[in-house]
Amino acid sequence: MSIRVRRPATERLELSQGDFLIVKQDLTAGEYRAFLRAATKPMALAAGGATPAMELDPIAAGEAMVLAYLLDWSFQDADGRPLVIADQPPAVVRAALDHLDHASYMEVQRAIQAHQATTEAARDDEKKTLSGGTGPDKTLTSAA
Amino acid sequence: MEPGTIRGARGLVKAAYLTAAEVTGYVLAKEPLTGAWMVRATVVTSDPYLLAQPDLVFVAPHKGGAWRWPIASCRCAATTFEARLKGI
Repeated sequence: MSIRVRRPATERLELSQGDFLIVKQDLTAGEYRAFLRAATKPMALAAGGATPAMELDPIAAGEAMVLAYLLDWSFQDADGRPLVIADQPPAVVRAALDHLDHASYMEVQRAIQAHQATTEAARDDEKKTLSGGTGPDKTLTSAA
Repeated sequence: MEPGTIRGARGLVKAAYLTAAEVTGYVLAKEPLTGAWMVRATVVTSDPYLLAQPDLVFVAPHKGGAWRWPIASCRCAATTFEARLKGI
């Protein structure tokens, strides 16, 4: 038996000018599916194609990843008031992201992408450790 | 409205940062008989797994942030949410 549900944990990502983000350490399966849904778009098929297909939308994917991970930040609006996103509906968070200057948005997106890559690599290492090695599984030969 | 009653349009039940339920039209008031603080609301979305977790918190977002109250016990039916709060 093994534990397959992680306790929700957060991480603080440091940005330039003393700012920071609070992000989810990991996504749950449901959050990951929601991220994939938001990051893909239906693909146009040639006439006669019966199988619906999806493709990654590179613009939507970046925003989807930010929305999936981001919980809070230290950002302020043009008047120096906190730009509140914690516990706000997704539409409010999306609107706040849309009103950042482009360089700031890209800094947020890059920080979250780096966090996701680091976390994924750590989980891969964890799996290797738990499975007891990095080599391929031995194949059992049939006794028959 | 009775003194000490708080009403709000949107509330959240949180398990750490995860949303166990989103509610609307919440009313937070002190029960006259028991003295316990209760919150009642209409359920918008709910996650049965998260609602069964310990240390749930009722979050009432407002313009500048959010108020938070730890939940002592709660009940979530199809459309109604009711919780007894602690620490008020």
